[in-house]
Order: sequence, then structure tokens, then C-alpha cells
Amino acid sequence: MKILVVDDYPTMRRIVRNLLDQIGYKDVEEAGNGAEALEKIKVARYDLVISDWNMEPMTGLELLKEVRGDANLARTPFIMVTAESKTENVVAAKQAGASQYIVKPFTAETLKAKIASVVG
Amino acid sequence: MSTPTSLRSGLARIAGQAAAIAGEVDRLMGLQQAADQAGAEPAEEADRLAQAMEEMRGMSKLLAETRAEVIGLSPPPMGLGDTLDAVVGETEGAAFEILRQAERAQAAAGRLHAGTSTDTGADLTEVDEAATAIVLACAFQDITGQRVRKVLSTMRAVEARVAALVALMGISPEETQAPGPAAEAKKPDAHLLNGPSSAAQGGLGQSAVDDLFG
Repeated sequence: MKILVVDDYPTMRRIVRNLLDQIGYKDVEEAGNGAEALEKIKVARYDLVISDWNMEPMTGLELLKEVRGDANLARTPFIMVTAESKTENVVAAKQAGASQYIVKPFTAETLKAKIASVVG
Repeated sequence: MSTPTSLRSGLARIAGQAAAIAGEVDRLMGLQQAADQAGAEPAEEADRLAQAMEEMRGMSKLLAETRAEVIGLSPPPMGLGDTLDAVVGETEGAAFEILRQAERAQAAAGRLHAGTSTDTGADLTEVDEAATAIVLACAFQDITGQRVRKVLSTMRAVEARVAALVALMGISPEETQAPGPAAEAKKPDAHLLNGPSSAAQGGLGQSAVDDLFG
């Protein structure tokens, strides 16, 4: 399974990559923001996108809307992993089509459970 | 927070001009008093001049006090931005070192678990050394803590100066409610970018988020 991890902090990308490695997912690529991720997604097929929200120049929510608005990408599982934890954030992400929502800081068990729930 | 040089020099120039005007009024008052003593002018004119001089003195004092408060806002030798940049760099460096050492330990532990280790003693030492390196890397908290405390101390001093300046200028609390940064306002989801929130600030835990997601 090919996974794209999107976060503007290299440390967080490395943490998620490490956890994914421990879970057993070795085919992992990274992007530093929504715009960079969108370029990658349009070129290569990913089975799962794990994205932060608050990034420049394109946020995770904008990326999610772009993905859901493209017929070729719309079915890609998308997990939002963010420190934005207010009700309005969760509702907005759900309405935009997020598959799951993880609040930072999170545990390896939470990441594993959410991935299992969206990719089976 | 920095004070624009143009603002400081502008205030200094205004204070100087007000003082010059007050001096001129003083001089005119002297002439008026001399004329009064000679019995040439009515006392009403002298009262108006005295009132004008008092207003000028008040204006000069207010501008001098404002100037002193603005000068008090001058940035410290190492700016707050530089100090916080250093904190970001140090925490990032420490996080990378901790991750690097953890991955080193995970690799050695993985070999031991899988029975693929070619030197059990060396791999155990690898795990032990990585753990020690992680402990040492955590020393960043002491350094960054000191830097953050220094920034907080300066921020509190600036906050007090700004409050004094606002009071001095007679600015109401309503007037200080400035709109947010224009750049953020342009983002379609700018109103949703609040950063981490505690439970008291309305932040949800994972289980509450899961309930919302259904």
C-alpha cells in the first residue's frame, strides 16, 4: 500500500513515517504542504493520504477539497491529522469528505486503528 | 515588538515644536506683562495668553511622556523573534536527534527479536547507547526553557509599556480591537486555523472527535 504523508514539519513527517514502518507500511512518500501533495497525487496513485491541516500555501482542508473534487482522485482515503481540535474543525473536515480525523498528539494505536478503518 | 524609528523621531520633533511654541508664548507673556506694567493693555489679553501657554505646556508634557513610553518599547539587543527562532531550531534539532537514536535502537532491537543479529552484545550496547543519547538530547528543554522565560519577561514589560501608552493617549479598549492579519483573512478556511486548543478553549479529545465522525 502506497501512502502519502503531508505535513509542513519534517519532524512530524518522520514520526508518522516511523509509526507507519512499525505498523508494517514501508511504501511511504512525503510532501511539505497541500500544493506539493496535490502535484504528487496527480502524477502517482496513492492508496492513502495522511495530511496535516494548517500549512502554507495550501492547507490540508483545501487539499482534501481538491482531491474530492477530482473524479479520478475522489475515492482516495484521506485521514486528517491535526492539532485543530475544535468542533467546527471536525465538522468542516467531515463535510469536506475526510475519511477519518486524528487529533495531535496521537498514539500509534490510534493511527493504526484509523488506517485499518479506512483501508480495511 | 519593535518601535518604528520614524514614529520615535516624529514624536520627538512634535515635542520639540510644542516646547518651542510654549517658549514663544512665554516670551509674549513677558512682553504683555511689561505692557501691563506700563498700563497700556487690558488684563483680559494677558489671561488668554496665560491659558494658551498652559495648554502648550500640557501638550509638551504629554508628548514628552509619550516619547518616553515609545522609547521604552525599543527591542532588546537580541530580538524576540531571534530568540524564538533559536527555540524552534533547538527543539527541531533535539526532536531529530531523539528520532535518529530511537530508530537506531529500534533497528538493533528488531535484529535481536528476529534472531538475525550477528553480534548480540554489540546490538544490546547499541540499544543502551541510543537510550543514553535520547536522555542527553532532552537537555534541550533546559536551554529552550530559559530562552522562552526571557521572551516572556520581555513580552510582559512590553505589554505594560503598551498599556501605559494606551492610557496616556486616552485610547478606549474598543479602539484597540484591531482586525486580524490580512494575509490569513484571504484563506478560505482562515477562520478554522486556530492552532492547538485546550479543553477549556473548546478543544476535543480523540474520543469526542470519533463520536462526531460517527
